[in-house]
Amino acid sequence: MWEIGGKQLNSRLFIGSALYPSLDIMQQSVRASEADVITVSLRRQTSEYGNGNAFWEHIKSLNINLLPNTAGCFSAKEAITTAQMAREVFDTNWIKLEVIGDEYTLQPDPFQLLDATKELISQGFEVFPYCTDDLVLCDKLVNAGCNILMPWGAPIGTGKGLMNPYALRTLRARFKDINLLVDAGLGAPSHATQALELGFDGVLLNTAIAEAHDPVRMAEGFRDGVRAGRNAFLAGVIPERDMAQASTPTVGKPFWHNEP
Amino acid sequence: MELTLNGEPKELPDVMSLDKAIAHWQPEVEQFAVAVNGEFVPRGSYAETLLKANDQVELLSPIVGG
Repeated sequence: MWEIGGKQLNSRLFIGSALYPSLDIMQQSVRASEADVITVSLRRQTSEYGNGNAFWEHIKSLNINLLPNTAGCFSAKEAITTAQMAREVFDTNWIKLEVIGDEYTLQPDPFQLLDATKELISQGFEVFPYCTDDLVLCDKLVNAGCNILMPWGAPIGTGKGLMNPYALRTLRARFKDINLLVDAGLGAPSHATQALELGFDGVLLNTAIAEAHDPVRMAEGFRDGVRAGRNAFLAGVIPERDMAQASTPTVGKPFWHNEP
Repeated sequence: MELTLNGEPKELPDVMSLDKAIAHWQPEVEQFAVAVNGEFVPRGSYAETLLKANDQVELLSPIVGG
């Protein structure tokens, strides 16, 4: 078990609820992932998939923690209002705070993000900020009261993995007591493993599972990838060497230098 | 009077409290939260919130999200 945002969790995988071929496959994938947290959102009512009472019934039956997001917000004001609405609908003070600054890369706007974070923390929210891996921004978010940081691995939906492992290692080294999750950009379970090997506390992803050919099996892959990475971090990965070092003992080798 | 609900023009017979307007519109979704002119209105304040002409009402409900 580990603790984040005042809750005890088993899994270090946070999973999204969007983009699945159907609500049933979404539900099966979430169960297969063994995730304890699922992200959700708020929108105007439409007839499109993933909206309305059917979605809500599927989510409720999963009986896991909800992490509402502020996806699509481009200003602190929009994000704050959305967060307030999400707190009432989903009955949680957790908020995945997204304030986008560029619509092509969906890169977070650090200035609006920081403004929204300060306001929402003052209103009692547990803010999970979706941020870049910029050290100074993260430092300001922590100083504003964040207990959690969620830097991107790569832009949302790209599947590129960890574009800047150095920056992520730096965040781990500088924020030892803060929960760190890589959010967005992961494509393969090995990317999740790498994040956990770096000492990150978890990962949050959606597209890599939902758009896989077999989302349920990919959910199992990420479940196992996260576990592998965590075990590797706790066990201690050996340092790299440039030269070979035999693993089989050399003492007692037969025929060694016995040839004429 | 005319105002907008989720970006669509809507008519209300008169100045009306938010709880009565919601009852009038009968949203299909069971779970929702409301903002008026960009400001969140808590459920407990619906009765005392009066809608005026040209107000912009947003009624948002749960949806998939990443």
